Amino acid sequence: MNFVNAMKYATIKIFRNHKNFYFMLVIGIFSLILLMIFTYQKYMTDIHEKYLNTQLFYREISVMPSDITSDVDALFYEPIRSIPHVLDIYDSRYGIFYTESPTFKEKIYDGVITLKYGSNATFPKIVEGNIFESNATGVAICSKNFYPSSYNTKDIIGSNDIFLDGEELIGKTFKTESKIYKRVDGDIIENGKYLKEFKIIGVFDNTVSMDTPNTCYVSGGDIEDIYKHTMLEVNSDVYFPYTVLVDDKNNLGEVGNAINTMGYQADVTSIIDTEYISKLRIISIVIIIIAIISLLVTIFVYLKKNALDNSQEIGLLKAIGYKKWDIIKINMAKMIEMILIPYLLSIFIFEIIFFLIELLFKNYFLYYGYSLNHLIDAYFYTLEIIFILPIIINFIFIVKLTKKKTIVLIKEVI
Amino acid sequence: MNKILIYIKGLTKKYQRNKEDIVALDNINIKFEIGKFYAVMGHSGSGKSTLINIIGLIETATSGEYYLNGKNISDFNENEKANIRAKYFGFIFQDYNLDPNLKAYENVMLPMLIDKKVKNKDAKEKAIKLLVSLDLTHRINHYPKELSGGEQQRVAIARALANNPEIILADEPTGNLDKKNEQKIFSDLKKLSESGKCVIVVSHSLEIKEYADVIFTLEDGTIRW
Ligand SMILES: Nc1ncnc2c1ncn2[C@@H]1O[C@H](COP(=O)(O)OP(=O)(O)OP(=O)(O)O)[C@@H](O)[C@H]1O
Ligand SMILES: [Mg+2]
Repeated sequence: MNFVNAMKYATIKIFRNHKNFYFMLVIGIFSLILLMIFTYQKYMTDIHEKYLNTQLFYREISVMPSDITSDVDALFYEPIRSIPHVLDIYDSRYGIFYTESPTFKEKIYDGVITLKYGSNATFPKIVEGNIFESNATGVAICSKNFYPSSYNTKDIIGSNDIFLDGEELIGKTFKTESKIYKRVDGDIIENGKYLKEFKIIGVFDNTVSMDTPNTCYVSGGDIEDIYKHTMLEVNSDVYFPYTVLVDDKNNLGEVGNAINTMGYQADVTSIIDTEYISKLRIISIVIIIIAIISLLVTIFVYLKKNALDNSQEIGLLKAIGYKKWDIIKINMAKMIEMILIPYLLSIFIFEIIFFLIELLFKNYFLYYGYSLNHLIDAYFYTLEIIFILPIIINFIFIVKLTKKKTIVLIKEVI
Repeated sequence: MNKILIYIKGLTKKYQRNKEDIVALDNINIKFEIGKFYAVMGHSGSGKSTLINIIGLIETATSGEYYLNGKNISDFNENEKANIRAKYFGFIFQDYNLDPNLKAYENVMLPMLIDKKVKNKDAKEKAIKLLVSLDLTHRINHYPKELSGGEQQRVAIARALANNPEIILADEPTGNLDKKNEQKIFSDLKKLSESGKCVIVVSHSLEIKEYADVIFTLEDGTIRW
């Protein structure tokens, strides 16, 4: 039998026997489950990894300047900055600041904006437009997908376009107004607002840096300015920690030790939490093992239920003159088709689900700085599992059958 | 005398059962010529099926020589035997052995498709012609379960003829049929022998004596003429 005829024969045999439908249904369901597991696991691992690599606080050391009261620059900043692997050091109060922008407070936006300390050491890797020097004032680098608002489920879960195009914002200015706090007779009260204006000179892709899309990087001086005008004054004997930014999380220990020997107390800000990822891996492996076992059961049940049909078919083919390898090839073509058809269908269904998730959670993913990409790996892993096992088992089974005597096969009854 | 197609010399077949030898065929010598209708008769267990299966190369002999067209094929391997089966033999079984999931014409096409050069379209055309010649014009597109026993057996005959073999082997082809259908099958087989084929039929039915050119009877593994 030539290839075309073998495929035709296999197709006819598959679709005229309802036992094959159950088999294909089961294969399809497993395939879909595996596609989802592999994709989900890969996603979570990738996101976790990306998070570790993009978030600055995994490379930060918090340092208490204990007894420094004057000339912080010479006594503190300069010596620490000269430690190998240290990229930057700044007052932790000026690392991040939440404020509101009346400029953007319109339509769906409540105007809440996150100002982050910007310097060559903290800027996202890729910035379109310009960046600024550390002593600049009144300039900002904002998210390309700009959402000047706090998290709002109603808008973020859905397919509406909720982002301002950051590229169009380059060159524009916006105002921030921050509440001024004051202590009156022991109570803390609001006392007007402190206004400031920023010009957007550059934009960054928040799906690369994993910043929320209401983030703008401004200079440390600007944050300090807002801070000093709005926050309560503190006594001069109260110290705030400084943030030391290290080039790589593997160097945290070394830098920490160096700071300790200088006589300051150094703490690593963030502990990397991998519990979820390892749990996820274990759960995935368990599900995959269950799927493989179920797959084995399925294929054995299928082969058992079809043993008689198979024997008679093979016996007949042998009797009328088919060679052993021809028979094996024809039968394997059947099994390959019976796996590929549900596999392709499951990919189709998976793609639809993927598309719907993409549509519905588009904003959500952008908000958290994820990007939803197709993971071709998952397709291969799934195919390997649902393909290799049944094919090998079927092959062994068929080879065994073809070795039996023709007359025995033909006369075989239940 | 017609040309001798098959010559079997000193054929013996022993089966093992419970460590005991059962002699199914005992030193058989026999010739088959083209254009003749052979009837193999005998009691149950006399070795008829064993003989016809060995002739058709779907069973192996314990000893003896087998000449096909003058060539000794006793020691052919499985693939060579498969080639011979496809080219020289057409099988007809008592239980028809049609593929239940293939339509009548698809069942007939099956032997034709062994040859990799054969196109599906040509095979289909030829299968339909064969079915028409066996009065099955109205059954071409039917599945076996939609056919009567006689019709199924005629589809099986069409399938046996698919590769235009020189030898037709039938093991009790009318065992499940009534008299009218039996006569139809026998007369079809008779016509085939008249057209030059060597037809060998195992049967219990005395009816076959009306059709056969040569009748021999097996008794405990040996031939009585
Ligand atoms: N596979 C086998 N194993 C053991 N003994 C066998 C086997 N096949 C046949 N026999 C024995 O060989 C002898 C001949 O059997 P065979 O089937 O050829 O008889 P038969 O003439 O075709 O009988 P029936 O008319 O019942 O079909 C019998 O005694 C049978 O029991
Ligand atoms: Mg018999």
